[in-house]
Amino acid sequence: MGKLGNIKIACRTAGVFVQGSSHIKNNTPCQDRTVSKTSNNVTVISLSDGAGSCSKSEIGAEISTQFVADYLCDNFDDLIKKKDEIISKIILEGIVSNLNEKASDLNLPVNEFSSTLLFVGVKSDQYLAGHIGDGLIGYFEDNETKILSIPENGEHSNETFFTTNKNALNHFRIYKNNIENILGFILMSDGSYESLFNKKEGILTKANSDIFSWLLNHNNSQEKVEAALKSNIENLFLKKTSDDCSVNLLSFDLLAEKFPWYKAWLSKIVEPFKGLYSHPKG
Amino acid sequence: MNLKSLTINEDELANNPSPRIPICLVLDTSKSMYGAAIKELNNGVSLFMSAILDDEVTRYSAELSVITFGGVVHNVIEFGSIENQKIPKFKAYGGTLMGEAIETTLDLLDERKKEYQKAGVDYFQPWMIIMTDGRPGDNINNVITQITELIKKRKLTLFPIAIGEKADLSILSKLSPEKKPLKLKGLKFNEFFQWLSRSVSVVSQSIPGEKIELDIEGLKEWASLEI
Repeated sequence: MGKLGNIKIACRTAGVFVQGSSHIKNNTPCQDRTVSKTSNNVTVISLSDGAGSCSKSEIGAEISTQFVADYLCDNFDDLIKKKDEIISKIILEGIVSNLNEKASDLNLPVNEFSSTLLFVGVKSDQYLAGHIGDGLIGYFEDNETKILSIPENGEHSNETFFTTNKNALNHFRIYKNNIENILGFILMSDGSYESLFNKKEGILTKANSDIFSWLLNHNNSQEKVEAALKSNIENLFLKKTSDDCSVNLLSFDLLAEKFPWYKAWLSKIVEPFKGLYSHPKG
Repeated sequence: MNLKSLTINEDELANNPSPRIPICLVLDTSKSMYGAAIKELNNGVSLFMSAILDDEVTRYSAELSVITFGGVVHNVIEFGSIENQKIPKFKAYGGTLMGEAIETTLDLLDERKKEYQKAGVDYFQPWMIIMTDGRPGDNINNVITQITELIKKRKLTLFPIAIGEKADLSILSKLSPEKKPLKLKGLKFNEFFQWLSRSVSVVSQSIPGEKIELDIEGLKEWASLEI
């Protein structure tokens, strides 16, 4: 048991997905999706990027993100006790079963619903995260933005792994641990990754802590943070990619007034992040 | 809703290079290409380079290397961005060292990929275009194994193009067991290179997971498909 024991942690989330110029040009929908859900003291953020060549991949992305959010909210305690390979098997089977059902309804092969998947679920002092394909999972800790899970691509630029691949289980990475000093998480699709990750140096850019600071600031409603994310993606990220862009953020609520000891502990660990609260642009 | 205060400074975003498409033109410049064929080949390559430069996206993605085999194997243009490259002028002479030329090209491709990986540059599956009007004058068996293995593993896209009636189609077929070699209609080099630049443009604008479909209908403008 970590520092927080079974205490409830209030979380804030903000997620957006924006259509890329190549999809506008080809008249195809945005194939990225994000979902956030809080239920049973569990908060989940998920993100999925539908395969460009698949006709219904936006539906696949929607089903995958919603399934993992629902399943984690309902089964977090059981799931986190299991081995990584069992967790990935349970989640993947659930997703593929839902995709098969939809594919059957629409009389299409299930591959037409292919997508990547990234998620993080948190409850009390623990987190459970998973990742298949490209995109990136980052987290905020000790005044730094760190990487939890990197993209898994093929050798070439347009190759990655999807939930519907035959060997998907081999590429499904699971992460679970105590939250300890983590203040929040960020999920990003490969489109956003072009702006938020420096490939040569292998580091997340400063823009990550900027957008995270917006969510930490209680003066900003979820709607305002989401509108700001959308506006920045449209005006800046889409200059660097023709792909869809999505981001999903989760932060632990810093106004846990009901738990003075938690607040004291939290303010201690967020000391290095203080600059973020009084961010010059914030 | 006032979002002015929630704006990212553009300098705080990554400035990652565009994914590269390595393209190798492996060209027969042996003495049998003398005359109209070498002239049209020169025009075609020039047209190809200009077409890439005119494309706002592809000019930053396409990286060209040109290897000729006429008497000697020569890396006429080293891998790089087309905007920094000079349009070459080929002369026809000597024998057809196709085996050595392909082997050299594979080595150059390997080196380039290592450079991409080191620099954190993403890249698409490399393209190799072999154009010949004859038959190899050297040993080609080793490279047939290497090339077919790369194609099988989807690590190389090969376009074998036969020029004229004397091109050895059986050798080109061995190099490319999945896709039949294509035969250039007359000396329609310009049409071929226009098609090639359009195809490179399609790849450069593709996104992960997207199936890349080449303009098969456009092939008919320059290729005889009945071989």
